Amino acid sequence: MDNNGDKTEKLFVQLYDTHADAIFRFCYFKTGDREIAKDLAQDTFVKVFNYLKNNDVQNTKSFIYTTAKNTIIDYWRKKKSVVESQLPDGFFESIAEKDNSENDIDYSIFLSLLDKLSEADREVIVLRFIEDMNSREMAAILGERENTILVRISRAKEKLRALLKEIEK
Amino acid sequence: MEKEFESIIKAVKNIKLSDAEKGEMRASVFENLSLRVEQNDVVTNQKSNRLIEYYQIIKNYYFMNNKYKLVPVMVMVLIVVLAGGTSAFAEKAVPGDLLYGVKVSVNEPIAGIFAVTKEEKVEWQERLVERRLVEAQKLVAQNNLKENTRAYLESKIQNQVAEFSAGSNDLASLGGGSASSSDDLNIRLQASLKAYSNVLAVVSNDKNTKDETKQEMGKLLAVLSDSQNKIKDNYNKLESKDNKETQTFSAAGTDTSNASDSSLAETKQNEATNLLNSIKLTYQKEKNGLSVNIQDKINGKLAQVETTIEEGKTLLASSDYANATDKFQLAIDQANTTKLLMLSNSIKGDIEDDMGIENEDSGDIEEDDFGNVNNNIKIDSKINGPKINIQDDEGFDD
Repeated sequence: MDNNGDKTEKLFVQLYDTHADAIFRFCYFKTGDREIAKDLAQDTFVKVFNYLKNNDVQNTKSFIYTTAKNTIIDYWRKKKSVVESQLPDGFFESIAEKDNSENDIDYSIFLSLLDKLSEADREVIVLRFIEDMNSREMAAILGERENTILVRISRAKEKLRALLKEIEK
Repeated sequence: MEKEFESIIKAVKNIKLSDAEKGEMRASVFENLSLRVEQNDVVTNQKSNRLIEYYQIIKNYYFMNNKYKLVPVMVMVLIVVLAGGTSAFAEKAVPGDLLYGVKVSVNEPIAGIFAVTKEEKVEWQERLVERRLVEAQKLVAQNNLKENTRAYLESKIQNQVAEFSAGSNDLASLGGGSASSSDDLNIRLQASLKAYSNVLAVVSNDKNTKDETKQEMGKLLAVLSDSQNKIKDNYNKLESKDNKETQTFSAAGTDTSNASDSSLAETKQNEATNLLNSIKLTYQKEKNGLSVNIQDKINGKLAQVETTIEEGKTLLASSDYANATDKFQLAIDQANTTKLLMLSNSIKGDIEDDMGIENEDSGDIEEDDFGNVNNNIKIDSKINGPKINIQDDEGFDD
């Protein structure tokens, strides 16, 4: 591998270490299946690296998420009978049941709320608050204007608040 | 409300890959990338691609066929399982790669720890030299052998060969089965060095090979030749010492006890017979990968070993124990030479099959004593940088 190849490889190692969990999570929320999410995340990184071998990308984070999103879309296209937004019932609750690493907080209640959100709302919540993206990055990934993204974030958060109030009652 | 919201965020962030999953996925990603690189090379440079595959073949050959490498290989597997993808990917690294440091500073020292006995330590030292040879092969296949990487590999190979020789001497001094193991490892390393030197020289002659790679390859080949000669010299010294000890023991026995002479001769006879049988067994497995020319030569040399053993038996029957012992020792030497010829050509034959290189392109490795390796490599730098030719040695007979 020449110097350029070395640089690309180093870049990829860094990108992988930084984004592997997030991309996996992104795929997980879109598919509801841990194994499928791992496969899709793996495909994403392979595509990204193959592209970066011969091309420069200014915003690699957005590029990786966009690639992940397209990979997920391709996956759903192949499974035409299933609608993308249909995560299995109780998807987030099942995650909470499996995850007992933080015993002092009952996450199951909060995670169950995400099940109640629409796919679109969940998407912006995840990108903004879980993956700590700014509106510009989200706009690039979701293919929408920045203002639209800000509105979506605000509405999704309101819906989440409303769901929390219902639980408190 | 914000507190609850933050709790949700924290909960969701807790969803992630386990360390094992992350390592496994990383290894898979890089494995897929390697395959794609090779596939692309098929389109642009089929020869280079075959060389990359050849690197895998050589590696697999050694991993699967050499009993001495089983323990370090298992340890490597253990490291990969425990350490995850970084360690696994590092195994493919060559000097200059980001993860090469993990390979030589983490994987190899850990694997070395598991080599406990003297024999295992020498086996591991032999394996380390071969790992450097594989790296050299890979760099040449990638057309990327540069001055700094060549200098690094040279230094490593020289040091590791020196360590191997010292360890081999210690092992041989234990006598018995340990001495036989020392012989075997010496021959295996000589065969590896010869096979790699041969193939690297052929690759350097390829028109697609860069001038810089050719030039550096010429320098590295000289070091490989020197290393091979050192191992050969060390091996000869060990054999010479063993023969002297045998003669001393035999001379003392003549005066004091015929039973001792008889016992020594029988021990040598068993050693020669066992070695011959093991070579025949290996030959049956490797025969199809060898050229007709080499098969003929090996058949002739095996017959020669059998004849020598029979002559030793006749001397033994006539109670001429000293000469019988010498005959059996001669048979052992002949058998080891045969083994060296077979192993080096076997490795090379597998390479040629998988690379689609015709045997005529490189010729067989036909050296009886594997000495003076430099005589077989000619570097011609008149046009287009150094050109390296392997010449067949016609004087194979003992």
